[in-house]
Amino acid sequence: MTVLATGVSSILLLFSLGCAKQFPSTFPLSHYTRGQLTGETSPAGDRSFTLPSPIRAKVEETLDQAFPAPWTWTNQSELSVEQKTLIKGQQLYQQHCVHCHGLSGGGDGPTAASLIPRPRDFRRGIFKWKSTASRAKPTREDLVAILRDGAIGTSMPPFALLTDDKLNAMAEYVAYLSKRGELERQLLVIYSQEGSSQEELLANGESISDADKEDLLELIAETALEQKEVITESWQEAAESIVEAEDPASLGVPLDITSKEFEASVLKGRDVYRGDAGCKKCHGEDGRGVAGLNGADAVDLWGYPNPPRNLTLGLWRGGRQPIDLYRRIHEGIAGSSMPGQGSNPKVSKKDIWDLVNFLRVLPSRPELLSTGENPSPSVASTTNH
Amino acid sequence: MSKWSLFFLTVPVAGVAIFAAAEYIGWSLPPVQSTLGREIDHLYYVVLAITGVTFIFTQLGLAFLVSFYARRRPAEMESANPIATMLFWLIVPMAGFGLLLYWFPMPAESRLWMGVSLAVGWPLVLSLLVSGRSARVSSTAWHLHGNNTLETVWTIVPAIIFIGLAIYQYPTWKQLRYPKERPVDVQPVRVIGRQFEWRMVYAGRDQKLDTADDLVVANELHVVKGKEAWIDLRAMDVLHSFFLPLHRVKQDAVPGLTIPVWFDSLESSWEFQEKGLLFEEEDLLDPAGLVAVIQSASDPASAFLKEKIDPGALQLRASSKTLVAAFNALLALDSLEPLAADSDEKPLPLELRQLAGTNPKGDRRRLFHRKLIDRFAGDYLRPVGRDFDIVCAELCGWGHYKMKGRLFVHDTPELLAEWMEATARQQEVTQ
Ligand SMILES: [Cu+2]
Repeated sequence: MTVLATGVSSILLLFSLGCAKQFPSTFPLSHYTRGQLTGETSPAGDRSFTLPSPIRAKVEETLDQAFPAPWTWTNQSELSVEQKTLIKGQQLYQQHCVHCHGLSGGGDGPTAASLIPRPRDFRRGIFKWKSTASRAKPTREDLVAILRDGAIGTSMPPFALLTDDKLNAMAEYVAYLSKRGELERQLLVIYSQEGSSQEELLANGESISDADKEDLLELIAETALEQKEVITESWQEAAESIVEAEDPASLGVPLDITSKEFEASVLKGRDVYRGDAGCKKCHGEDGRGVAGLNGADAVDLWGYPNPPRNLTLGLWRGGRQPIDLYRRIHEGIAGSSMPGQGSNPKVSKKDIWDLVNFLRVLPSRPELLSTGENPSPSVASTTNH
Repeated sequence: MSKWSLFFLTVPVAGVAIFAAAEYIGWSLPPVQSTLGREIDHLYYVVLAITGVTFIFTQLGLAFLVSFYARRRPAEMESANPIATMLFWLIVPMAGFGLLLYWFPMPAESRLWMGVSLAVGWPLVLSLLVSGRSARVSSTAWHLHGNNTLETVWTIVPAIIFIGLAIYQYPTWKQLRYPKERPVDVQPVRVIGRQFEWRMVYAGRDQKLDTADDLVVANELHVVKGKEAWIDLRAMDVLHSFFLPLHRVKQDAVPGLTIPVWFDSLESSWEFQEKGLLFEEEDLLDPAGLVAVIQSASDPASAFLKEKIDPGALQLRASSKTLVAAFNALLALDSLEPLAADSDEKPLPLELRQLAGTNPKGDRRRLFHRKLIDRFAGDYLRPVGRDFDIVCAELCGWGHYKMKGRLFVHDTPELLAEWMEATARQQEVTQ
């Protein structure tokens, strides 16, 4: 009987612990390895390092001042409109996003490890699917669009049924997490570069002289102030970096598939694909993506596998509007090996539009790229890519 | 009366009680929205009646027999005739009373309630009648040989019922599974399930699928009221189950297969939404005036409504929490949302904020008549569309926002065409 009672009560205890939602008093500090921060590799191999506790405390405090956790804002009457939006966004994020994208947007939620591709890590401030230039931040509309339509071919579902103000609040919160993550990274980079020499750091994470320490604390505070401005501005300026495309009609490229010139445009696009744009180097003779150099073993900025897309599937993650494809080709994809053709002198704006038309029909007419041999089986199965 | 017979008695009694309560706790079928759905519902009720009546009588019989034998000495066992006793006391009276109920003209509501009282009450009366007789427990076990005739009967009777049902339902099944040719003017929509979304692909301006101008829309299926809608159902990754609860459509989507599905819609989305905001329950419906569902007479909402709105046109009714919860479930949780509650620019009047307010758990506490919404429309409140759901009835049903989509039923083909045109334009954006 006692055994039974103990068993039942311990199960109940487990439940009560499991159900309690305990938020930390602030965003937890991210763990990075040295290699992830500096991009350098050392003979000793890449490993995580321990911040000396005063440095750690300073970084945490500075970040908390710059980007406090919205769940700690409890005094309703003193909140600004922006803060209220962030609270709403945080609550929605907690409900819909956190299990993949993680509490502070590191793409490290509990389900993240089982997903291919991995959920986006917002902390770099680098986003792939956007209307803006490769180096620029996305606009809020870009974030809302990906929330609303999802990213087909990934595990990102569409939240089309949520109201606009909810989507806007979520986008606002994602931007907030990204800004916080970017600042955090920069502060950690300071330490990994200025804190002490790499060998010392690897030997003993705690070793730092008092003078060094004072300098560092000051540097962290200064950099934080300065960089917060820079990061915030980069988000505010996103709208100025939207990639505008010339009207295809004025360049003589028809988008209407029933028009007589459409087929010519498609064939021209194929020539560009095979020739000057150099697409086939990675996406292959048959458009299904190649393994090998720059191929299936490619990794993205975050270190995860990022093979060239199988273009015959028609799963355009960043949107399927002609303008989406145009921007993807013109700017490339930030964080991946996909280069932008906008800077390729051999490829004109008209060429890009022809390429867009070619890509629009390729999924229904993969024979356009048939190599004469038997079509090779798809490198990528429909599930993952 | 044996303890065990009482135990067995609770099963049919609870069964009947749950059946009677189902309507009020949201366990009964939601309103049907397609022609074939009506037939499917009819079949469901036929099967429910047959199995329900059989279930109740077998459970009553079980309770009865346990009680019957518990009161007899071994010596009496051979001569006892449980079937005759059961027929006399249980089955004949209940069946007779049931038939009377069926023939006697009375409102359907009373018939239901009298039927429920009969099914619950008579066994209880019987058990009271016999409970005076003490049980004499026999200590020795004894052997009772099976009854071949009975076994044959209870095998053949269900077999006949099954075959009867199979024949009876065939016309509906045929319509569902082996339908007539697809009407020439109906363009199928390709619906692709993937984790975690429904992706709808419409033929674009060229009226052909698999061309560059296909329209691709996530989670929104658009059809026309009163017209057959045809779907080519596919799956991209795992098994999904395409489920339109109100249209009674449920079809597995299998990777590698294209499965045709068709349905029609009796109501357009607008009609459905309009209805959702008018309460249909008798005690809450007052077509002439305003109705507000409130928790109690002391609710601040009553005072507010009385003051703001002509009291003559207003009916206030206190209502139990359960009812409010049931309505909230019926109308979907977000049936009302304060438009500007979070914004400083356009604060809600305090009273209205309380009215539209949510409790700490986020449940909607009150629902309003359409007229109340119209009164404050735009300024403070807006109805959030109540839609026909599309869900996945496979495992992903519980993940990712329940893999939920929305079916939009347009009033006329012209409106659907308008939507298609707008979507096509939106998908051809070049700037
Ligand atoms: Cu599913």
